[in-house]
Amino acid sequence: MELLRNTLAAITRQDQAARRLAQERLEQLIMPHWALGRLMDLALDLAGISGGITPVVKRKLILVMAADHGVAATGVSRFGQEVTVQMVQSYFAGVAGCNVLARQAGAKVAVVDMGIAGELMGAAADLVIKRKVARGTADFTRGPAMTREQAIQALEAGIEVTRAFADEVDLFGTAEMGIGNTTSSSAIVAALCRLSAAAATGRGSGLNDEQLERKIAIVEQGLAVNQPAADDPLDVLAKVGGFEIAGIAGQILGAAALRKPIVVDGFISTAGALVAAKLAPACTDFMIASHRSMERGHLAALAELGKEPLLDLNFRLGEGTGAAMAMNLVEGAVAILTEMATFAEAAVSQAAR
Amino acid sequence: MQLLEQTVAAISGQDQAARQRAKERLDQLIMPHWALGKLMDMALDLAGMTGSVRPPVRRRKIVAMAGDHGIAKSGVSLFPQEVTVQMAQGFIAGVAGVNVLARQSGTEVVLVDMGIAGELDEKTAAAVIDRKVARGTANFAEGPAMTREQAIQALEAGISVAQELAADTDVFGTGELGIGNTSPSSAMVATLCGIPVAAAVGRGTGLDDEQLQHKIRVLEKALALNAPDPTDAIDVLSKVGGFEIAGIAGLILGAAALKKPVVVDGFISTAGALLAAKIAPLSKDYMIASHRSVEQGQVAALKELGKEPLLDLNLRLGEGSGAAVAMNLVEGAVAVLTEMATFAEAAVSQAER
Repeated sequence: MELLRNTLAAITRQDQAARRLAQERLEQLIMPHWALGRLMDLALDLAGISGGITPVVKRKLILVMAADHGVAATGVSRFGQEVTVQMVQSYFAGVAGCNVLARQAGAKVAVVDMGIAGELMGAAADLVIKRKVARGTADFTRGPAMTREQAIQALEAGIEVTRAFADEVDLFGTAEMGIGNTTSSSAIVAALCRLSAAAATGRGSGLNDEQLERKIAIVEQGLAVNQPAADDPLDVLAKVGGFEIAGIAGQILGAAALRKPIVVDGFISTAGALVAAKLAPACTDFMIASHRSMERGHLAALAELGKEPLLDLNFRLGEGTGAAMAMNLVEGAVAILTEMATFAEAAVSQAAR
Repeated sequence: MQLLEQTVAAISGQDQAARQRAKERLDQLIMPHWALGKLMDMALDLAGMTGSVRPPVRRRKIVAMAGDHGIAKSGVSLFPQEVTVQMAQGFIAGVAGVNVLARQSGTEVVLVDMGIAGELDEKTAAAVIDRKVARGTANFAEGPAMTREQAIQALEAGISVAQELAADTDVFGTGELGIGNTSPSSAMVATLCGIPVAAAVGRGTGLDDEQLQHKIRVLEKALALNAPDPTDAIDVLSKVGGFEIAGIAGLILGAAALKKPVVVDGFISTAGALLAAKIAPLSKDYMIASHRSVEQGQVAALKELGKEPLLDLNLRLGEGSGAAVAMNLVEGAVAVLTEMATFAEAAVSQAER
């Protein structure tokens, strides 16, 4: 609890002076005013986050938090629980969506076992970062997913992993793997945004209408059975959350305390971001929303965070794929701030006033 | 005229067999079905364009076409005409928006002088590809912007640049530079889409309401004076177009004939793309729309082309800046198609049906 408490206390807002300095430079660059739009907005954020007008985002890391969910036993996913292990194996083989898109973006991928139920084999077993809280959460339709102590343990694991990478990473990205984890995320978003289960629940890995109705009923049941307190994010996390979602929240809190930017992936990551924001509102200053997911509930969570996503590519994979793609835009934003010339530097005539 | 005719005759649609093979592979990749949305749609296109399920996209080039406009004398831009030369020099110095964003995405930038009015400094003159048709178009508020012969010459110049660069280019991107060039773009789009001028005109480099009304009046009068024939794309180009817009259209036609993908930048580039599509409708099969510009005429032009842009970042710079950013997504699409494993290859269990 001490690590969590200290981390929350260390999180402060963006550096407003650095934002202003960045704005002054951006307004003088050789183009019509603010003509690179959202990339320039992002450049302001990166200055505010780093506290300077030459932010560095060269070393990029996507952390995949992996864990299983008791609620998967209720048949909310079209994929069997063994797929969590199989997909983690594929991350170490470098052949999954997050690997190939991270490669494109020049980002590394590391995998954290926050609570995988099955057994990893070979290199995956050796190389995975071991933070297993338990072999999957309990089925939250019958009682709490985890204890409050486990929720804190999982949050602190995320913080610790982030701190361990602090010296070698400029830009973090979130990611996750866990069969059934859209169900848990929907329950979290419904509870924290005070939405109906139906408004926060989507088709996950591809449910049909009938399966979606069942999933909504399961989320409703989980919320009815557990009665999570909307104003107590730890209670929500413990009762209907997941270990990897807690890990993501911890990673975001850790990055914010270190004043490093963190690119938030899709729906599950945004549920984690929402937990982090409820614990430390100022941490939203360090988040960059990567993309608009196809999953219902994602927009509500982003609105609650006050974030506008950068990309809208009909993604619904998770794994950090959207974060990987958005890292290119983060690099682009820094390139504008640090590499473009001003009107004076390049001797270009300004617009008539 | 011969080069243009031969090029148009050489353009055929995408390779449907290659699209089919790509689809079969994409359907089997280790993720929920089509969970990487628009990147997968684009992977299909890239396979169809190149006729390969391993489309080459490593060597990327943005071809920035530069030309001046007689209409700039009618007070339609905030910036004076000398800025075309100054920005061309900025491009060659590597300090403009397109340069820094192209660097981010590992893309080269080349500059073509299609009709710059002023004098380039020695360094820029030596680096530029010289295809100058004339020192700027005539003011189309007073008569045709160029002769029909010049229009064909400019189109063929664009084709020849595509052919010349093809040996070491896998993917082309369009870019442009020319003070006043949103005005001919609006005039062309209004004519070719059959919409009122007011629906095709925007604020360009940042006009206020009064300046915008002036721009609309100038363009309405110019269209009434020149009466371009909407069924004759070359007539539209010669009466109200620009040399760099013709160059862009030529580049697209040349790339399409060579079966190479072309990433189309913002409003001016989309006007060029529309021109290319009216000359050779199948050239659309080789276009990738990079982003939604702030200019409203671009939305109409994209609709006429049947294209959905990849990005929406409030960009309104042009130069090729949006094409540069979108190159990352092109690379990502190919990475998904060529580097991800299938369920069988990775021994991952599939979803139940």
